[in-house]
Amino acid sequence: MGEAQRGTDERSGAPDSATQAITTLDVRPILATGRDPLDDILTSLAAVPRGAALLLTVPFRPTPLLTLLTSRGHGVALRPLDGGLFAVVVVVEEPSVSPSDLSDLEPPEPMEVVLGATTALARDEVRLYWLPRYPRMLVPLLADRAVRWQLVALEDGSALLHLRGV
Amino acid sequence: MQLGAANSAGLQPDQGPPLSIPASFFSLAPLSLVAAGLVLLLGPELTSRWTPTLMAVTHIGTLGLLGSVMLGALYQMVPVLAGQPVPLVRLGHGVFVAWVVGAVALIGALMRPSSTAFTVAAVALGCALIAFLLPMAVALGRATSRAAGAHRVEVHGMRAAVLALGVTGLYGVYMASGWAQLALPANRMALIGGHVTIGLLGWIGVLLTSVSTKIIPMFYLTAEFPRRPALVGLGVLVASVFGAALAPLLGAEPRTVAWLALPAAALVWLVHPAIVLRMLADRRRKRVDMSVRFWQAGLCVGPLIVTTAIASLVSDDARWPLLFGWFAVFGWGGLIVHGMLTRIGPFLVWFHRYAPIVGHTKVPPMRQLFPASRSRPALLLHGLGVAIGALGLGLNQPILVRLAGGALVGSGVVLAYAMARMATRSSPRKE
Repeated sequence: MGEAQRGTDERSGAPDSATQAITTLDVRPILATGRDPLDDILTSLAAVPRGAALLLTVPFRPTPLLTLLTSRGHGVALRPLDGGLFAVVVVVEEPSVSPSDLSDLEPPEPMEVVLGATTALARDEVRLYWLPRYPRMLVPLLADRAVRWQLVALEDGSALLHLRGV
Repeated sequence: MQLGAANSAGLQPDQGPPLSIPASFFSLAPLSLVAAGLVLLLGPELTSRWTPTLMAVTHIGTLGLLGSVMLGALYQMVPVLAGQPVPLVRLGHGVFVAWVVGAVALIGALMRPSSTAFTVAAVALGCALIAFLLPMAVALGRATSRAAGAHRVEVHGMRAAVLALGVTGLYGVYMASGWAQLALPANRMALIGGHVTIGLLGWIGVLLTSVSTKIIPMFYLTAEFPRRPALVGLGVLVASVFGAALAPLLGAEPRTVAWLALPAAALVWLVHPAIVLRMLADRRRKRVDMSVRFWQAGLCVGPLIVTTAIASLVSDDARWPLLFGWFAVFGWGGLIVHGMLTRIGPFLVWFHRYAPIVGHTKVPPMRQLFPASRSRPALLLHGLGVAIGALGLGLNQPILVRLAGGALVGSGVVLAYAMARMATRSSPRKE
């Protein structure tokens, strides 16, 4: 309980470690035991390579945590979810990288932005995107692109996409 | 080496339908508008809902326009919204052929009764429905009906709608078979009432309302539908529709069937329009989109349908049922489905033809595939046709009904032209 999970689904095939771009951690079970999740968060963060992301699900706005992580040189972004939840994305050692929000684009504009990015990324360049809903139609198109990517569905039905140039 | 991963099922390239399947069904929409318009323009006067002409026009609308687009759309929507591929999806080509053969035979038989034509219609439409419904049932049966701890209205709705299509078709095939054998089934009027109720409110109404809880926010950037009220509403809608549709089998009279359907009618034609029109008015990005205008026009017809339905129950004036059917099929359903074609059609073409080459070469924006300059005249002609037709039917003015037919022909021609231009646009090569 409370262990960081790799954001993958065995139904799509276990990816190798090079594609572990998003690690997820839901702190609610930790909080339910009465513990402060900060140690768990920092432990998880230490295992995430540069440019990869730690995605936290928290039940309140964690302002002190955001300040701490920003001061340590990480890119940090916050997104409110339904029911008072928040998603926090920490992009390790990439202070200038935060997810672009494509929620205000009508289909197929989000798809167009993401696919355009796949051919524009420099080697090891990282981009992240908040998508308004899980992009089932985008997945087979991403599989055809020369780019490392990972998608994680969020509790409100939206999704976080991590791209890294090869 | 695998370069990507996802924590939920995406579509494999071969799990969505080939473009040809939904496209073939969609192509029947403009043809049906033209056909219905020509019958109104050139055919005998419509004096009663039981005239062969009116029966034919009704089924051109329900099978050719509404049914075709909805069948084609489901082949695409089930994998995307329910997350499950439709098995044996290429059977859709056979469904299309059988659907066309059956619909043409039925419409021809309704205009000029023929035992042979009714037999062909019953067999062909029966085969089409079986070949469509079984794979759909498998896909929808496998779909996860809950996400994030909450029921997915769109999945439950598609299940109910597909079941309703089966019952609608069963009644229809049974009655067509009855005609073919020149022996009408018992309690025919109540069966017709059940057929109309479950067809309009169950198949079309449930599908449009439940799927709209996803596609309205998706395409138009509105707020999400409140999930619990939507689920409760769907439950009431389904209970009312199926109760009304199955009541004839228990000996219920047509008026009883109609009263049982009133909660569903209120939900589909009063509550849902009020909610969606408000959502569209409050949407975040108020870009002018003709498909929004189609939605708005179609939804505004909803209260007229309820009014004419109630009037049909309390009055013996034959014009009320005529107006009810006209508003429901060519007004509400027709405008909404026509509008969704102008949005889903170019989206699918863009997805299949251009999405694979985005970033490698310049691709046109989706809106260029179906510009407003082509959909606006189609909307105006369709809306005008509905309005003039209503006046003609209501005031007993055959000349107005013929004018309405001409407007529908015009709308169908414009839609056909727009779809043909979209389909034949050349694709840029990957650089």
